[in-house]
Amino acid sequence: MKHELILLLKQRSVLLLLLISVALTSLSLLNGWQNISHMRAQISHAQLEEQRQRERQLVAYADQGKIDAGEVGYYVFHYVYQHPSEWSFIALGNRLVTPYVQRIRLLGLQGQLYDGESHHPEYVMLGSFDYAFWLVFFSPLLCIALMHDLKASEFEAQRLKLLASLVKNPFIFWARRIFIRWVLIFMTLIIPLAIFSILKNLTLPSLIVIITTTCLYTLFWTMVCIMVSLRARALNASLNAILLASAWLLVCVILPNLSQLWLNDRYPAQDGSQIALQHRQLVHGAWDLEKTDTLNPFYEIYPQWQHTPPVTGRFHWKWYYAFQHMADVRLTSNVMAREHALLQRHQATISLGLILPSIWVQRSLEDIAQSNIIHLLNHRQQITEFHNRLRHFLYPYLFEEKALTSQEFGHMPAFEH
Amino acid sequence: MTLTPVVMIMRNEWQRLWHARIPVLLLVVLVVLWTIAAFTAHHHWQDHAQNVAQVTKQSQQDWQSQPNRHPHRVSHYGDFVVKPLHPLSVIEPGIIDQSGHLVYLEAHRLNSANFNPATEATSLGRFPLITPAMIVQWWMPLFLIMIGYASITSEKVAGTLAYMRGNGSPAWQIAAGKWLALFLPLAFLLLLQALLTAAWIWGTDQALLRLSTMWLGQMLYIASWCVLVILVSWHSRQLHSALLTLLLCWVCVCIIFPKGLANLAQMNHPTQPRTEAEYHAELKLKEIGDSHNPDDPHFATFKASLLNQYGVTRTEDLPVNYNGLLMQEAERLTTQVYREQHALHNKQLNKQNGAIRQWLWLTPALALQYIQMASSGNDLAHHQAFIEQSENRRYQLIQYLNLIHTQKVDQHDDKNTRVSAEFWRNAPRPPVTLATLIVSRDSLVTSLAVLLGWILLPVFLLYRVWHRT
Repeated sequence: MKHELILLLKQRSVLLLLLISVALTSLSLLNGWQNISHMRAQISHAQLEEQRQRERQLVAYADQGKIDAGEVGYYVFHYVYQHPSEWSFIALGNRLVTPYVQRIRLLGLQGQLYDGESHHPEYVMLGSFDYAFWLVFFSPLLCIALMHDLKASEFEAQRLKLLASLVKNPFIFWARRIFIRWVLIFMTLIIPLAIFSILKNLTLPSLIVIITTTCLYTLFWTMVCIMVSLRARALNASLNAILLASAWLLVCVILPNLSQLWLNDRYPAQDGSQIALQHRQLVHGAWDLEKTDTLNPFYEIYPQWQHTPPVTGRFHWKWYYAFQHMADVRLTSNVMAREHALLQRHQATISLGLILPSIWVQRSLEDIAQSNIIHLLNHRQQITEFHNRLRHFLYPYLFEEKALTSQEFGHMPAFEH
Repeated sequence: MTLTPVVMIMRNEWQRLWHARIPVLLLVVLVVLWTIAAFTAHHHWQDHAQNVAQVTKQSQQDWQSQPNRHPHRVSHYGDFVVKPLHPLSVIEPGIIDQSGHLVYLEAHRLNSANFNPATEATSLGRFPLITPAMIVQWWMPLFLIMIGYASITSEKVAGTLAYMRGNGSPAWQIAAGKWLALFLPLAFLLLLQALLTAAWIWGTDQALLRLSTMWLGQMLYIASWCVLVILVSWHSRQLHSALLTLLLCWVCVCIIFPKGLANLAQMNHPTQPRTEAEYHAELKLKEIGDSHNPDDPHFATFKASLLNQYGVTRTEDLPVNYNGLLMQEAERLTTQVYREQHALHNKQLNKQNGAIRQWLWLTPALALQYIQMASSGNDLAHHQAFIEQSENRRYQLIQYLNLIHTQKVDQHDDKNTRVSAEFWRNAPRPPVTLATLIVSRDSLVTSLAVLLGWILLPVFLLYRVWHRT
């Protein structure tokens, strides 16, 4: 074993390759970490800003004495945050695109939920160089580089026949050779990872899962390489390299792309823009309707307010917020259908992962990093719940026209997650 | 100077490649890959194009079918615009999936472009998309490396290179012959793609200019990779090291540098979250003036000059609707502030771009991507132009509505008045069109210069290498 190691490391190109791998693994970790700490910094900055804003509002309202609950609903923005989780840096996933700070007010939620973030779209498109990308995309290339010419290099050096006559048990001989190569590759990936997680004081269970994933994935590629480069007629190194590269292209690029196409065809989801158009139609259409057309269905959902004084004038905040909410209610089925389609896509991606290791690895890492579609949907769910809490907090002041004091204003719900 | 020896060398190289069988196999794989890419990219484009058409139609219909309304209702009802697509997006979708394609135009707000498929993609969305542009940018060089890494090294190893030179073939002839042998088949494929694309996009916006820019970029890029392959192949003593060096170049140039540069630019010139920009805009607006506050100095002056102009003492006596005038003034102010805020954001993005351009010489792949994105109308400059156009449309539309408010709504019964729907139908809503290629001038010039540099530098190095050996 030791001799194999020395033999391997004596090749300058191999040593170089391994060093590059260590460097790029570290770079990928660092890069992911920087992205996430930028998000964290922006979030805490926004939190501070929100707090200051709230204090100023409190002062302003305290001076004012009487607070108009309707205006609070319209003018006061509430911040919602999508906090990165501890391991988010491992796979940035859709965190690169989704806004991590959003502002919500009491108006219809569907008109606010999908506000985009102002990133530089070109760089979002180029994607981030995170550990998941490095592992899924490049570790196969490392395996191929080190293992495509197992037999062929010996053949080309005219040692293969000699080896065959010297080696007692060819299985053990090749197994040893392969094992040492795999261990080196594996180490270049996990040593920087382990050091990084110790430096940053990260939790062990997730680290173990990531290491196991890395181990399985590199083993998969090792198996593929063995199948190609140890077959009986594997005597042409270039042909092996090309076969393996094609396998890599297939597993890491072509099949995921085709799966994506199939997925979007199989589970069609309405484009978000349709929701926006319909939401506008519902919200603004309400101005042209009789007030009772909005309020009666609203009272069916909230019977506790139905005996409050009827709206007779041209405008009343309670009617205004009722139609804002009814627009959301009327869109529920569309929103649910979209969400359902997205969940189905997610499920199908999981199933595809059982066949395609590249997808499996990407998905598992994003699960640990909590940066997948499922987490986005969860986050939207949290925003919806928060919006509900806000509505329920203000409704008594709107419908019963209870006076809102600045003290009560100070107790308005805040987003906690 | 005769070209015949060059052609001979080229033909010999083709023969060698043909007999080696693998290069031919690779070329076939490449063409298959290309077909798959064209198929998926077309599918992708079709989805988008359908969506754009549908939303445009729906938005138009919704707008036209508005009943009689108060003008201010209409300005809150607002208008939707969708980002137009150039059919060349089939080749390079660029930032389609990331930038958001729908903007809601309403009074007193500058909304973001919303809805991008990238947000709601599953893990599959993180795999690099295969598009014809990606084929040229990533996969063609890779295949080229695998086909050509041996072209001179093998001659060196076999001793035929020394023999050829001993026979009086100058080095440049050998290099040119080998280069042509690699370049011509790929150039033919690129030409074929360009011709097919030309047929497909015929008659669209700036079709020829865009396509030829893209084609020029692609040709330069592939030419530069061919020189690079020849250079490394000439320099290396072993087949293995030639392959490894080239693969390393590929990984750096195509993947690590572009991603690394993008991340570096974002770290050095971070963008604010949109919410923060909005909040700052609101603060600025509060400073300027509050139209609802009767004691506000800005609006008090505004009112005084207005009364003076019409020679009346009370706003109630104005012949026009004072609220409408107030709206116009307030809209002018908010728009000014939002545009300032947006300009700040754009400045930051341009700083990021500037940082990248400084280092663009590191990677011709990113340079090619800029060219392809620009010519298909899917780069940042086109997106910014779209946002600007839609913002202009928004301002024009809202001020038109405020004018109607001023002139057609009796101020003594302001809130109960409904204005005929006829006015909405005739409202100025100029169609949002794709910006012309000139908006991407800067990135095009830099990128073409980088590509040229990447041809000249390897040629120079090649010259040095053949003098040494």
